[in-house]
Amino acid sequence: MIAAQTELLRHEVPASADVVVIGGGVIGAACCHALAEAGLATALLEAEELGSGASGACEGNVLVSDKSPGPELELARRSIELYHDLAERLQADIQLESKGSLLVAVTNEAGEELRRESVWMREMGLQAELLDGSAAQGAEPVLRPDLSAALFVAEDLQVCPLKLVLALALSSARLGARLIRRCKVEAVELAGERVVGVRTSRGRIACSSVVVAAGLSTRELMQTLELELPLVGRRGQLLVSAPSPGLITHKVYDFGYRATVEEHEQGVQVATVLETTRRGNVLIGASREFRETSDEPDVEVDALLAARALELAPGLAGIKILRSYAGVRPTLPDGLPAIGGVPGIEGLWLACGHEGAGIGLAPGTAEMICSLISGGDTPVDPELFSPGRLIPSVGASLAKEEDD
Amino acid sequence: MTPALTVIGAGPAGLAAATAAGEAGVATTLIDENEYLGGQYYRQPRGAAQAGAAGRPARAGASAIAALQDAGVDSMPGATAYAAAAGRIEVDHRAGRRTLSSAVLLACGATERVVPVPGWTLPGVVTGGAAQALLKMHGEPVGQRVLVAGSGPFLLPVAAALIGAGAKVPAVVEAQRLGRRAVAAACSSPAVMREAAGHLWALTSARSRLRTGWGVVRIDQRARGLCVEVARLDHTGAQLPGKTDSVDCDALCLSDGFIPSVGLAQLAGATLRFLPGPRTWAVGTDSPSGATGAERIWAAGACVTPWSGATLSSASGELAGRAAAAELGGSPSQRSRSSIGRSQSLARRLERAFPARAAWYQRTADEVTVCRCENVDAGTIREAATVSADLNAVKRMTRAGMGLCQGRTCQASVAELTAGTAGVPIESVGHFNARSPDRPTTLAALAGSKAG
Amino acid sequence: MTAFMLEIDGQRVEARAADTVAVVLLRAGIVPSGERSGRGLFCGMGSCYECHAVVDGVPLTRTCMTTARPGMRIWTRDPCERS
Repeated sequence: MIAAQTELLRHEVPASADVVVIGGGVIGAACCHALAEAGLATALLEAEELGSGASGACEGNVLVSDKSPGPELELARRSIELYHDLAERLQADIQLESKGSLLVAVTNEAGEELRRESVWMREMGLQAELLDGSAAQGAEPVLRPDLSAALFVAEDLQVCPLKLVLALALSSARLGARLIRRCKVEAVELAGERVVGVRTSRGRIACSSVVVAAGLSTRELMQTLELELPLVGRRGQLLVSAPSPGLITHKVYDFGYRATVEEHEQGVQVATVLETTRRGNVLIGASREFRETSDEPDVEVDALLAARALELAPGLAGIKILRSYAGVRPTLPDGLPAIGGVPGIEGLWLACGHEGAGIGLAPGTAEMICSLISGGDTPVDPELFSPGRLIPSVGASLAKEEDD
Repeated sequence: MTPALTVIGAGPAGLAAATAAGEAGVATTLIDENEYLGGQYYRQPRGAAQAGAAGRPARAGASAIAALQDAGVDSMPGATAYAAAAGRIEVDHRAGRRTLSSAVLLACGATERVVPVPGWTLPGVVTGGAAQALLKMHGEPVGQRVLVAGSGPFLLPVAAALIGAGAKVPAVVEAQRLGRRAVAAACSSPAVMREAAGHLWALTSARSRLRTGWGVVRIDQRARGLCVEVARLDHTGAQLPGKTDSVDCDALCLSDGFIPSVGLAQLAGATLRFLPGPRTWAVGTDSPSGATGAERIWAAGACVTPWSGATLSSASGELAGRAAAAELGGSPSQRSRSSIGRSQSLARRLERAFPARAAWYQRTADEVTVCRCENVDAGTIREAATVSADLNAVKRMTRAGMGLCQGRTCQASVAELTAGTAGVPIESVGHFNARSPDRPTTLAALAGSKAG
Repeated sequence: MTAFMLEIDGQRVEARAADTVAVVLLRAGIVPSGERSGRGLFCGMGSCYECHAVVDGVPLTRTCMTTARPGMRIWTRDPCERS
């Protein structure tokens, strides 16, 4: 897949661009791709390597089943629509699997809640099918036999996140976008309240629009503009098993993942998510904790993940775990990503704070950003994602002016 | 009993370290993932092989194991350490998790470097260490007609032991053009000289050729056994154009040097040190104490010095064991048994005489499988290296190093191919990030319970 | 020396006391088929995992690190081939 395309990834910094996208994770790469498809001269800047942040340290979930009715669900559904022909548009195998999710409930209370979930899901037109415990175990034999209920949601997808990021980048490059890796952004340059360029470790780019999709680093970049974005890092850890093909076919998750996430003494929340990659590696997640480092291993979290997974799926006891890894996912106080313009600064756009839903929401986010920049229609209402809700200094002062 | 010190690895370094700490009155546990103590060099004969005469290494091992027991050290064979941190170590013992809260001394040894060449994944192609293990444990040669090839002083004892067990060794193929430096290394001590002379005499008596400046370029499977093509190499290790030779055999032992096992040290937060001769990374320590800089973590033996051999491993193990004991409130005796100076200078001489060579990897053609676990070929790695000269980025893009062996077998190759393609120094591509568990561990063991 | 029997890929094979499973496979000339075609003993010291097999139902067991026992059942081929 890398063959003969590598020269596309070795660009130098251009003197000017219509739009500069900062951040080579899935959100930045998707935005770059959408903008390039729309015919804009786009440059993508990545401080390290494509997908080396949170995008490269996750399961590749594309879910509607973990959302509640509201704007995020709409964006997720729009993204799934876009995913279905994305592989074709990218001319690459992103290992898209329409495998569907099996939400499983252990307790009767959770089972009841799952039934209620199924009602609104079906009302919204989702393919959600209730199963009893034994049918669930029939579908996934590694599960415990005494589940209270399960809900199969057919819409959920899985992709290989790294293949996706690379495919988006390569396709963008074929469309004329410039991809510059190992390039650090030093400042977004303003003239008054208007973006005029980006200063980088490898030269200056003149541009009128900047999309910041730099994950957690977005916070620091905003600080250079004296804007406080309440973005924090949430670490999620995963276990990866040796290839064990056929052991798990769907994405399986403990309904507790959505309902109540139990607080661990160290402030670590663990709720089981199980799935298999195309190669057959079982991915076992997921933990969440407020911690902004990902490099150091944490065997206590490994142990929690393992213990919780075994409670749900005793059939996995003997699988061999090859490694655990963690990603730090940027999250905002209301749990919604920030997608849209920064009020008060013309040409400054944000696409960040997707937490664990970055892969799932990337195509919809990119479409929204692209439409906002080029002035087109957005299939999903962007209002609730607007960064203005989070940046009081600019947002409040504007609101105050309006009040006056 | 909760030990004050856990020593990981029961080879020459670990045995000496644990013995020294035990003698100094520190409660010490020695663990090893093998069911038997001794590691690779001291590997003890088993079953029927016991009846035969045990070799000198096995006898030395038996006395090292006896000394360990005299020192009151608790040993835990069959226990795999899968994570380490300051003051604690996670162990998978009989399919259950145990956390040992103690200081840690790493004596994890090394694995072999093998340059991937066409056909190296065929059955019958093994490492020199695999052949040695079969001989030492079972007295059995890996084949009846065995070619030994690669680079380093390890080739000679492997060939000699194969001959001793009745195998025919048509040739020993050494990539270096052995010159002044190798002779100087061999002559640096009477013991080494005697040993080398003994091996060479065994080769000569068995009409086995020592071909220096040659390397394996291709291995083919025949109806009966293997056909190994060898070619001349120049002084940089690059293949010379011209005639090649082929050798028929039923097994091929490859060994191109040693790669220190650094995974647990990385997890424990120790810094690694790049070794320019072997072109690989080792645990960085303060000589001679073996202190790693990470809190309450020491290291000794081949994970620090890949060409250490049993003598230096044992000496550095003893010194590290004494240093750890002193810090843990023990009282090591005034004088240590061994002196480290002479064996350290031998290791340095060997490092200079048998450097790893970037040019060796020119023989790794694009279609050759490099990551054996994930079936990633050299071409894929080279393509990825044009995108990024960062070893971990190449790993992410290609999945090389993400399989069952967790990158142990391919790391050196992936690094060489990446550096070679990108045209950067080997040390600049880095090393694979450490991930826990350091060994494949069952989900049940990670959870702290017994496997179902 | 005591000899005993164990089962490899459904065939009865003789082993000797204190043999590792790897040496039993090597003596019998058994090499895995299927996806792992041809792969077998390589490093002989538990590092490379190439010699793995299903031993008494436990997959991915390193045969070079496992002592053979009477009646042991070893499967060297793809797991799905068995069912």
